Amino acid sequence: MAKILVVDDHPQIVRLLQRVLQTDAHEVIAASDGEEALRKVHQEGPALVILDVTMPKMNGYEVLRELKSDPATQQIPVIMLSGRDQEIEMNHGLQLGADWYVPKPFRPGDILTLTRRFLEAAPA
Amino acid sequence: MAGIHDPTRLAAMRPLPLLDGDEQALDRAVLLAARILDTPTAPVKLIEEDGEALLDLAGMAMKAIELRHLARERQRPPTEPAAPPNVQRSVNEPEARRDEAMRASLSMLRHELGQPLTVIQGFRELIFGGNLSHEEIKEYAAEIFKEATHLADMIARTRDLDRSSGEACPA
Repeated sequence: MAKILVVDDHPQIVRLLQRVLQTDAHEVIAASDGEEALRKVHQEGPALVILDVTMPKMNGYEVLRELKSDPATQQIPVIMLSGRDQEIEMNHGLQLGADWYVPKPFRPGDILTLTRRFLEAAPA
Repeated sequence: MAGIHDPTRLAAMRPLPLLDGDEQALDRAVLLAARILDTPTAPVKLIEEDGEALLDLAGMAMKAIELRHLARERQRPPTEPAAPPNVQRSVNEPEARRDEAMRASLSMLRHELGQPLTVIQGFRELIFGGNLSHEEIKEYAAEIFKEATHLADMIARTRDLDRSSGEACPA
């Protein structure tokens, strides 16, 4: 069981991911914009972040840049979610340090597989 | 873990290909959407009976809409500004610009459709996976119903757009 931060401004997507991640008994915390996401990362110290790209206030790329430039948070794996699936978008996220990029629509089973993989690979 | 430029890794992240589009996909999707809106039964029953068809049709509709965008962009004359006479421009440049505009518009379209499709596909997978309480099934079915309606509305708007542009520019 791990603490996972889900960041998306669509409440249905957050609810979907919460329910999916409950399958593995993870504790899910949620944020609906980039600023709230950064606050919760520092307050809650999640083991993994699932981060949407298009959001109000700060977009996912800006949040990612902050996370990966801070030594306190740069080790946290980040899975990006996006409806924009052009190669240039994927490369941009990966170059900023995202660990994986999942285009929408995604299958819940794929998210579970990825979270298991990253949580198992995370340093103890 | 593989490097960020590893093509295998990038390929693995691509979405699964949509179903092949066919010319009647959009009409079938609209008909199904109309049936959903007119059906007086509970959303749970609809999901049981039409969940699979809805997903298939949503995928085909998306492909059909993409194909229409593609055709429209190809018909559009290039908006290339006149080049100075002493500058030799590549003959492929306007085409490249059109292709770029088309890719951008398809990306926007995917973004727009990605949200309802994720919700429909995701909650449906949960419902059919079992292990949900009756209350959860009702709640998630209602979400599917809501997003299916949203999707149907988007498809209908695209169709209206097609119709009005066809009237404005008869073939």
